[in-house]
Amino acid sequence: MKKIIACSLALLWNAGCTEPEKVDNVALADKLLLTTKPIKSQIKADGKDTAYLLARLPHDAGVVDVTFTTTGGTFVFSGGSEIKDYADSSDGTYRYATALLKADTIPKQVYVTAEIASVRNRISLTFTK
Amino acid sequence: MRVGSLFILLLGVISANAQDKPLPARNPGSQYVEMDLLHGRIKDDALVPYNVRPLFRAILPEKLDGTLGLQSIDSLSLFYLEGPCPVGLNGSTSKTLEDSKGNSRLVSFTPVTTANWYRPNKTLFGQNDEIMFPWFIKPGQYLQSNKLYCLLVRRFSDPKKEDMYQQTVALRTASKFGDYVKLDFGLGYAYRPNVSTLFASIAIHGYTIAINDDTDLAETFGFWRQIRFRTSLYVGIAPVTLSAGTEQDIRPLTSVGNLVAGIGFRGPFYWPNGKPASTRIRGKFVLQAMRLNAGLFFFSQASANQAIVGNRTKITPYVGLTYDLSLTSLLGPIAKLFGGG
Repeated sequence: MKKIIACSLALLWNAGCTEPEKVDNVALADKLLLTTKPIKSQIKADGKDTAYLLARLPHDAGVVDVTFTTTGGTFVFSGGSEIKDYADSSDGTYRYATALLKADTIPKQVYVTAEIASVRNRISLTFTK
Repeated sequence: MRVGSLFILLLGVISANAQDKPLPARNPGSQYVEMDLLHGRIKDDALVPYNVRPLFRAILPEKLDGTLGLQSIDSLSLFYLEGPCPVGLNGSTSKTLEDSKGNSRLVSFTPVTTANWYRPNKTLFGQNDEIMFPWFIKPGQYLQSNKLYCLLVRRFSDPKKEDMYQQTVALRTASKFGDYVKLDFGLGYAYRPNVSTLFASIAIHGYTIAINDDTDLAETFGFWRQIRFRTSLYVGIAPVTLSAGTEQDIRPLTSVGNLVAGIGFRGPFYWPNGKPASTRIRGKFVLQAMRLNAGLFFFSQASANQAIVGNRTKITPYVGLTYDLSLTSLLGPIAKLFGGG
């Protein structure tokens, strides 16, 4: 009986009920994940080809603005190098924001960045001939 | 309305309810019970303290029976019964009583204790016609709350035990709602990796039995009764975080601080040791009022996930060491706001 009580207390004490909070313990992908859908690393540099960008963030982050920026090409709906989209679609675990990037006619490597609060994530895309 | 405000409201309502039902005053500030043997009642119809060993003191009128001063008490018997003291109680444990319709029924009494005194030296009774019955209730015995007892005092005025005087005194114990809830304050420590928090807390403890603060927990009450005297469930607030060894700061969960809840254990370092009560005075006041708590600490903390802005409610186990507070004195002003007292 004493052993059961001691073990129960030890379990309660050590296991706890909540995961410890440490910024270093949280992977970037769990904060803000930026991908293309379907996944690809290059698109044609023909001034027409597009890449569908998907930013994923935790559901608890709420419906926030996700800012997409690019070093090349243009976002279709803004016509510039920056666009914002509400993360208003959710599957219960994550929220999602999207953007559509159109390639330039000049082949090069560009970087696309998504940013919320103090978190940002970046991927590279190559415009190819 | 915020949780903290609700909690304060709850404190006030509990205190108000505790005071809304006035009961006759107990024998003030002591364990003395003064008996009026002439009229067979407790002086001022006061309640008798429960869960303690009261000192019975009889104030005798001059020449109680018109003859001699009281010279000996042959026996003092205490019975527990369901109703008022019956007339003609003679020390046996049962008696046939007639109700208002003339029906007879046998009533049994549960004897609690009996003691005998014989004082051959008349002067022992003192100049004030006062008799003390020290520790008539023996160690380990006590009067339970919300019960009626009957004390039978018998004495013989002559050595042949032919001329007998006897008197019954009804004893009543009663508890109020406030005896089931106690307030305490103290410190709590939640040790978890990246939490390691020291905080001050104030909490309301609820007991399954009425608690008399005068009860000496070092008396022998039996194991399970000790457990019931000592164990409580509580909820409370932790308004002050003294230190937070965390990477993410601890923040108030409500407008009055964080919340705590758990199980309390009163007097964890104060147990029966077989020594006389007079040697335990310091321990009773210092150690008995202490309480060891184990529970959960509900707090607010920023998420380590920087994508999540704002705080999250979190729970972690903690232990605390607290001291009893007087509910009435602390919450009296609040109780008045709610119409109590």
